[in-house]
Amino acid sequence: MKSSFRVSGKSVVALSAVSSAFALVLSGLSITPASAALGTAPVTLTVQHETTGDRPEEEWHAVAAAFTKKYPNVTIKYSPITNEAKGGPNLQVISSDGAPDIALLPLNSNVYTQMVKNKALVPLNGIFAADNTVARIGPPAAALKQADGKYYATPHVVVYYNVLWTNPDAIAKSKAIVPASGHFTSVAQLVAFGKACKKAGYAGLAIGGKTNFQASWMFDSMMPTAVSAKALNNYINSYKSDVPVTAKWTDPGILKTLDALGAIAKGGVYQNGYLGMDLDQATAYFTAGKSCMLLGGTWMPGGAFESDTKKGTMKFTPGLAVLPSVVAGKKATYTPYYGDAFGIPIKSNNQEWALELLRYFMSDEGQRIGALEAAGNLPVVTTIPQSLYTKVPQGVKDVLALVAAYGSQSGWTSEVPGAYGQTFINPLIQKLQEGKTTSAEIAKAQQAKLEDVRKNGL
Amino acid sequence: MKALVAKFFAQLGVWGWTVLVLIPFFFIMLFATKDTSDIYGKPLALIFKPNWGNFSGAWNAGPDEGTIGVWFINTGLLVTTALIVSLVVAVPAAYFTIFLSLKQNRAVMITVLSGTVVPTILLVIPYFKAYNQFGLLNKPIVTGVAYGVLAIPTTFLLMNRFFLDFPREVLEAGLLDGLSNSKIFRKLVLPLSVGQIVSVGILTLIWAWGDSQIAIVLLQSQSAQPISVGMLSFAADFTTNLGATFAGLSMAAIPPVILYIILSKYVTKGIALGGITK
Amino acid sequence: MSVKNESPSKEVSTSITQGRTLFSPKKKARIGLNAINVRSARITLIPVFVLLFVFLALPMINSIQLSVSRWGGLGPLEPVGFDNYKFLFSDAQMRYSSRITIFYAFSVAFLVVAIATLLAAAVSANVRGHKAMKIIWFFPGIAPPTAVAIFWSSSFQPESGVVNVILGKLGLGNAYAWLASSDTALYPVIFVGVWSAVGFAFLVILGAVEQIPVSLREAAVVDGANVRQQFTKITLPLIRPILMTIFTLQIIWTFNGFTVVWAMTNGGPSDSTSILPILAYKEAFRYGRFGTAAAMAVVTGIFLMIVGTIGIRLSRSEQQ
Repeated sequence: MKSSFRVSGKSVVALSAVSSAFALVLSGLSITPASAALGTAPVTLTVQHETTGDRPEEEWHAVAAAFTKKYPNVTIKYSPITNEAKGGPNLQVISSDGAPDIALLPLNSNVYTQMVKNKALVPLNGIFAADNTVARIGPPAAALKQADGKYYATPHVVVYYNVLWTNPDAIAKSKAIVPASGHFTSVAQLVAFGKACKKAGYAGLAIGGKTNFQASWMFDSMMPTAVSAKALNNYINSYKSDVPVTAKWTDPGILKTLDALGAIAKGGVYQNGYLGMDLDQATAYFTAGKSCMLLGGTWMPGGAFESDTKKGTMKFTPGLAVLPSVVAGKKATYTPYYGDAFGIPIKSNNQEWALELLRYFMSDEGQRIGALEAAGNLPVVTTIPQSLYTKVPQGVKDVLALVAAYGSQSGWTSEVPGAYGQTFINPLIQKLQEGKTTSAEIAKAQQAKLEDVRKNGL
Repeated sequence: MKALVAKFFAQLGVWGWTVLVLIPFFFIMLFATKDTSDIYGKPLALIFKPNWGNFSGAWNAGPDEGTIGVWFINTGLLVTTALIVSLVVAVPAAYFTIFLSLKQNRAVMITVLSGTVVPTILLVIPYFKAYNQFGLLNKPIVTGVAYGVLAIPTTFLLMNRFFLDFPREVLEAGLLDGLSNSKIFRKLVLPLSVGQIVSVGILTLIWAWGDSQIAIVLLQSQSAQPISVGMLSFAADFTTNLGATFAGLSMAAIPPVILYIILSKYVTKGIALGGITK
Repeated sequence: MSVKNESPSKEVSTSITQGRTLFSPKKKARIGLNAINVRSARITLIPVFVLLFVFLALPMINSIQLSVSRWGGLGPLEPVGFDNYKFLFSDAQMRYSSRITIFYAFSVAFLVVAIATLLAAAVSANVRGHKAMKIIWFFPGIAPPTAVAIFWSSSFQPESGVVNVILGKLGLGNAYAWLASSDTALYPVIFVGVWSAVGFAFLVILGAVEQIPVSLREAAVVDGANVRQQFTKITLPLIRPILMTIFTLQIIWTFNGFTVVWAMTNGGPSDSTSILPILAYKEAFRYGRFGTAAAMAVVTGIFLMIVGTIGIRLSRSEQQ
């Protein structure tokens, strides 16, 4: 199409502009205060953040307040987007002329895939190098390095999902058994747990079955217990055509994991009508005391749990448990997610300032003020001592203690692009939960998808 | 006797349907004033301690205070633009087309008519690409233009039919009085057509007010969304606070119903006159 | 495609011929009215056709082009021939979605026309309270579909939803989770579709029923026809073209319907209520496969044009 030529021509110009801006910023950063290079003319930056979730609003407001104090000529505006928009429709917003200066980029979404593929993001290597950010974050940042050696996005917090929150009162009343370590040793044990709860009038485990992620979450936690570390690594990377396929989706480990997911659903562990409820509804169900457990994550204690306790609708302090392993001997773990990253669209009109803001956002100071203290989240950088984690809710600290004891394993659906991973497999697992498909069929479909993606790209 | 039985069932049927129609509005208003725990605990109770805080909760939902208010303004902008575009373009054309030969008038009608069968999903993606290309996303007024154009076929067809039945004596009289053709249209025809124009306009208004398929794509920023799209994220944000959700639903649903009751004469007339093209 | 389908043009022709005879003595005036206005007609029709071309024809061309390309939402189109179509016709979800879309559209259209006809018949027989009902029954068509759908989807939740609460009070059980099972989720969606569309169809059909000359019915009464016979022998045959038209239109509207289904189920569970517009939306905006989404839209468009054409033909031949 004619138009596309124009666009690509434009982006070449923009790219060169960016790289010269880079040099500017870099030199400014290392020698003189950045403000000298950036000037003092009034500038307005627009930042995108999600409307719900891990309190991104609080995080950004706190960082922005500190940043604008340093640079009084900067005004920061917000452009909140919905969960539905962030993984899909937002692509066109952040690639348009009306793009925000800092964009929300879920790493496993088509949005990030397309933005990187079309070089529509400003490389962050400059600000990363200046503050040693990659080393401060560790592997999750290193994994974002693209084939061209550039980084285009930065994670800002880590959340753990696949956390089983328990309702001790309900569990005591139903005499359901949670193993002392918190780890369910087998699917059968979890099913027995669910049955005991049901007898006492509670649902075993509340999940948001309607969401486009919760059905496949558990796969992330349980699959690593059924396959070797080497195979897992291959499952995570084999969608790239230059990585040879050594582990097939039709291998026994995967089939066993899927069988386990089917058996949990069939065993009546979930609440009645779970496939019609989203995660917020399932959370409300749990906080109202109707289920023994909830499948959730570390954003809940400071979010729904806190507000429902304040309102008086939540009358217990939740405890912790871990999903069952598929193969006896190995233990399932909580799954870390770094996925909602931020980047700078090439269409941003204030790239130098956006880089400076993002740099501050990712500095130890910014991470402490924003992620840690304002939002009560776990900062993604590892250079803030845990003694400063005073605002982190107790429930999250308990999760951290369990992670320290048993480790954590990154999840397949968070690591691979959604079109190949989460958005593809989630409806299939929902079908499995309803008994409408078999493990073998899902494995076959996922294997076919793998071959298609390797051949045709995403 | 048989007739009486039939009458009884007819009466029963219409009352049953009336109840079914009204139930949701009743519960939306009831729950809007109930505490969330009461909605779960005793949903049907008619005596309870009202929680008016639901309304302020709904008003303060979303990123900024009064986001619902912004959504209403956006809806207003969008719908007004759609009305202006559809009426200004279609009404004069519908009038002057009556002077074409019967054959030509038919041909015009059929061409315009074919526009009503095009499925919306066929349009959404190209609209999106074009609006994006020209930097027109997240602008309720410009989105309203698209709604306006899509309402042109209906407006044209209904107005054309109305003008065809318009008494020609009036036009002749105007001509004999020395009025120009455009003056006849503006001074004689338009004032006599107000009722029909209002009726047709209301059909456009109802459709543009409620549709979310185009708006969800062209208006993605929350501060640019109309109420039809905004409500979607609103419900997601508020699942743990059902009272506020219903307060929001009532704010979205009750004003148009009241407006309709006031204008119902025109609406029913507009539809009965032949309002069945979108 | 209009309520009075064929009849208005007949009226038109009569009024025009009448005009001719009426005004032929004042030939001068008539020429003045027509000749200049024909030019005005052409001028005022220009914006109509230009806008329709830009907003309807161009997008259609664009969709067709997109449907033979691969496009992830950004960058240039990559032509792939008929791959997208081949994929669609081999894809199980697409086949399933086509099936349920047709089922959904036809059952909503059928129920809407049936209920609206019965209500119109009742109201034209002057049941008590018909004046207020005429107004009330259109409430569901007025309230924003999103709000309506959100209300209904919360009412269908097990235990706490209003529908279940009422059923529970009636002793019928309160744990129905219709929206949570792919076997049953479509039925509440159909119900809400019908609930919100009946009011409009009712008003149209009532308009048609009220145009039936009273004398016809009186004659039937004299002939000894009872209420039901009056309805089946006189009313129904006379309004059949309108029923056909509104049935066709309702199919098209429901087929295109996105708002109600999206707000109630997001197309789930496990894509069991993903009617074609929803599948296309997900395909494009969630999975970034704009090519297959456009191909779906094109297939839908062709199908609807066929339905529309058949509908127009049927409503015409019914009348002749």
